[in-house]
Amino acid sequence: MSDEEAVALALKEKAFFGHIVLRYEDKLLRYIRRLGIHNEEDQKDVLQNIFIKVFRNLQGFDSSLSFSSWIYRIAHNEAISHYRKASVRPEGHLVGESDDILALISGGEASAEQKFDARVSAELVNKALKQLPQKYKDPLILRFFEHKEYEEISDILQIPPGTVGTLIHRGKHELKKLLEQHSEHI
Amino acid sequence: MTDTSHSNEQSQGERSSLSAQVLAKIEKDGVPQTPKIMFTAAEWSMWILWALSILIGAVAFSVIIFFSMHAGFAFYEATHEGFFDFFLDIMPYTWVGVFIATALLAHHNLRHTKRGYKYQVWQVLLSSILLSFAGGIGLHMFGVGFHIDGFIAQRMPMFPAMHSIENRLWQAPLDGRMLGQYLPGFEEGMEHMMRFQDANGAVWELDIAELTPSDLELLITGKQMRIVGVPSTTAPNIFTGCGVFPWVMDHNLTLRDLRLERDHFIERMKLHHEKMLQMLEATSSLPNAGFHIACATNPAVLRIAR
Repeated sequence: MSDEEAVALALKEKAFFGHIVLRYEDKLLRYIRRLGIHNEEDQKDVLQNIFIKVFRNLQGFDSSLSFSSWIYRIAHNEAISHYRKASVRPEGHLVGESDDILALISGGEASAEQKFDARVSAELVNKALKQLPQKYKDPLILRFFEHKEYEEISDILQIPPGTVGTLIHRGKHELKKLLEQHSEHI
Repeated sequence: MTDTSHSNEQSQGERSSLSAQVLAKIEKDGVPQTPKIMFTAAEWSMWILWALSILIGAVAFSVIIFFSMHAGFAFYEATHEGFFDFFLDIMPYTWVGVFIATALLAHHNLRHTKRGYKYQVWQVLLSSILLSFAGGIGLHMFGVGFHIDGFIAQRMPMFPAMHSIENRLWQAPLDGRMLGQYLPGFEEGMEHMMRFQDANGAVWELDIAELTPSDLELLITGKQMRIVGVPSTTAPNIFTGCGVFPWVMDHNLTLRDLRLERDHFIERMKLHHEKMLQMLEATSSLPNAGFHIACATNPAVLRIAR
């Protein structure tokens, strides 16, 4: 059953909304953790709020958009609203496969650079990402850890697709600089 | 603990419990679903506000065009020391402000439509500005700028409308400028004098000795005219005319018209200066009373001669 079919069913019968929750709770939990919500209680609260908001706004879902992008957008906004309410600065804590991290830090440029990149641990990437401005962090997380396409990132963050490309490009550049600084200290 | 292991710790039971919790909360709190009509209304209201911003921007731009065309650029030496002073004085700050505000508002409204975020800031701003430009030009063609300015000038005397600026700049006889119309009738033995009523209703004896036939032709139409001249220092309400220029606020002007108006003004003012030079050369002494060269002392003639 596609997401859109699940939405159509949930609109007819509340109980079907449970399927949407089941389908997305793991993905969104991972995502909000990557966005910097560490406390388990907070994660539960934020996740619950996300699904309540999804339910509340379900009739406003625009089927020309992918449901996944729409629900990620709500999750992203809810995470931001959580930071604002708690007056805390988000601290990224990435969960990623080594391939994801390699893809993030290597631009497919020089092989020597890739060799250097390969030595960089996930821990280093986490450290560097913490220092990266949020405007770069958000698209990088979505692109390299959530494996979203540019169009989807544009829909989630509500920024033009061209800007997504620019932010990812600049973000990677900034991240590389930070990684080099960190690796010098090792 | 890594996140992967953390994630693995969540049992199927825990996961399904979130689903149950969410559904229970929805049930318990009676969480309502926002009706589709609300989303549609919100989307429409953004589009309507966007269109309104464009329309108001177009109106503001039509008034700006009206200001630009009718501010009296052609005669700036008659009203100001220099072009910069003139520009700062006649700049329609309020309308420029309104135009900028509506462009920003249009940008804000378009960005908040369903798909508005897809466009770059410059694309949204530029398209809004261009649409307002196009609308403004269209409205100007129908005289909207002129009528709005006149409407505001009548109802809000404190508002810097072109109609009020025009009066302030041109109804200044002591500085050599007047706005008004010819009153028919000559006085016996005073054939070089005409009666002229200024914008404040005062009646002047207008000395036409230094006016050209084309000036007189314009004057006797009885329409509102701008007159550049010199007030008498010896008698009140006597004004020597140095040039008559039509008051064309109610007409649409083209750039060509503006250029012709400017050339005509410069030519007319230069003529007075040249006349004085010729006279000085001819007499090689101070001019006597038989010569009409009062206009050579008009500020505009002096500025252009400089």
